[in-house]
Amino acid sequence: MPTATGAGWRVEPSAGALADAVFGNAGALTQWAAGAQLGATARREGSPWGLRLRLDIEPVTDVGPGASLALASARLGVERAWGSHLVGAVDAGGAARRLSISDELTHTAIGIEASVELGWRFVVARRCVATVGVRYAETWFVSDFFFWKRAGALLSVALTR
Amino acid sequence: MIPLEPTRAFSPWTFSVLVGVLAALLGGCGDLPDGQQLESPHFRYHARADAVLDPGIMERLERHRTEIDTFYGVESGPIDYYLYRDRDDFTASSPCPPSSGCTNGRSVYAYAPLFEHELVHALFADAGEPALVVQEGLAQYAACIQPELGGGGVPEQWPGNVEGPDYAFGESLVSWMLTTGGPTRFVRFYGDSLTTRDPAVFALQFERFWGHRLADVAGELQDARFAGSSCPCTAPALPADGSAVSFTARQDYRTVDVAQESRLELRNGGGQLVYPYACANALVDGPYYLPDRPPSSGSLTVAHVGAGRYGVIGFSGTVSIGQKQTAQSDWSCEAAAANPIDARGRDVTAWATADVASGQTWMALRLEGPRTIDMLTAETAYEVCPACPTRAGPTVGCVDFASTATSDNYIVTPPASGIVFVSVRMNPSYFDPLPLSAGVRLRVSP
Repeated sequence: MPTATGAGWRVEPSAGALADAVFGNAGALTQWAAGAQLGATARREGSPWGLRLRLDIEPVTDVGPGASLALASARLGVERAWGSHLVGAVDAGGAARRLSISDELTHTAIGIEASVELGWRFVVARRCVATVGVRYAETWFVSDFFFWKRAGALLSVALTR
Repeated sequence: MIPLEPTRAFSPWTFSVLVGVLAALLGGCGDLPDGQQLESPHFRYHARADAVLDPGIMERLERHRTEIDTFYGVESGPIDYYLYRDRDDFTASSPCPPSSGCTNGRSVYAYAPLFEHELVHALFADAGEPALVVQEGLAQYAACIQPELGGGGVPEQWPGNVEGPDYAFGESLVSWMLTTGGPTRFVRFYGDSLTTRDPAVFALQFERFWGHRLADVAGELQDARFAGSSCPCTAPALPADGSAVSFTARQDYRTVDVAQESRLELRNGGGQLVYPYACANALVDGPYYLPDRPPSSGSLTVAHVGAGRYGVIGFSGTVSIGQKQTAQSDWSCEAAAANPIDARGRDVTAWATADVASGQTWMALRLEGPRTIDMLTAETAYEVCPACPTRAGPTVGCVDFASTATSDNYIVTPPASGIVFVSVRMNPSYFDPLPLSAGVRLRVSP
């Protein structure tokens, strides 16, 4: 449920799915990633700007026999709407990568991530807005000397007042 | 699918440069040595204007490049070698973090005229930029002038060794890969491997490529086959007629082919230590115990060697080495007594290469006074006796390292003249089961 935070602010919770192509160096490990996104956006009445939080998790299972990979991130960012439909966002925050190789080793690396999104919002039901969009994210894990580069699509649904 | 030649976002060296830039901003800008420059087909050698350069340096660099490139099947692009005046100049002016040298792509920064480890990095710069454990492992492994001792360490600790990275672990891992797949496959993996310290990322790529669990391979690395540096050993051979050849220690090397188990005598007019190592698997960890003392007027290394090709290197200074080989299979004290070595007036080294060092090697030396004895390789077991020990028990008057060594790892024998009997062997309790070279140096006491 959207929550009034006082003085015209509204918080819109959202949930969605995303799918990315992985390229660059990290493409040597996996060429895709897909998962879920939870989020919340705080908006002021009448302003095109919003502040947002996004939590992504993308499990990957095609990295090898008995091996699994999961990418997760928590980002804060700003969002801007142009008109009723077009919306763009820039986020930055922390990331984690958990890689397990059967019973041999499980290792978690931490890093930082930045992403940009461009989406198209439309009303799908009363108090319910969907966004389809594209995004690009770069992540650097402290143990690596390369960036994880991902580009993909997302679909999310947000509850509005 | 793994791309054959992944692009690199940024290199480990970038971090070093950032540190260097910050240091330069805080402490004044450094400058690259470029007062004089030598050029050869594949090298540009930059030095301070007042530096006195070895006229043979470019030929040695080219020879080293040819040796490595030919063996591994890579073709290195032109290399810039920046020679600093000394450690102080290097520390103040180089873009490297605190060290004795570093490499950025095909640029080497060092204050040694030929820094073999960094040169290997530069020679492989165009082949890829793999996980750090592979980069450093190769630089340790591909050594002709300064062989390094590898080691798998505790197998269960391999993730930490990858993360470190542990250079010795990397050296043994490179040895395993070359033994398993040969140079061509290794170089392909070198290009494929991502630049990372993450043990899981590295293990995933390693296992996809080699088809072996890294945890299992880490257990295999205990094997002595994977413990040493390796050199193609294409340097010129020491003349068989015993005539001497001069070169700068730690900058060059020579080779010796030994047809059968032999006594190899290396006479060095320069006085400093010289010693042989097996080209295929140099199980010598270097004479790191050797105190820095003035050389005597001449020295002799008497080595017990098996069949094979050996590299011959010097510890410091300019060496002038002549060789003599004598086939010998009986290394008992009694056999040594029948053929004593004249060690009067010069430093003498008793040496046993790793392939034969697990057995006891006796040598009889003719001396004329007290000697200071330095243990040269890790925990060599040795004795110095006035006579051959009897089977009934220990001979009175023998000294050994375990009971008499000082904290500096040397002992001083009492005044002795005539024949003394020296035995050396690898101490099996130290690094079991790895066979290592064993050696002691009997210096003429002042």
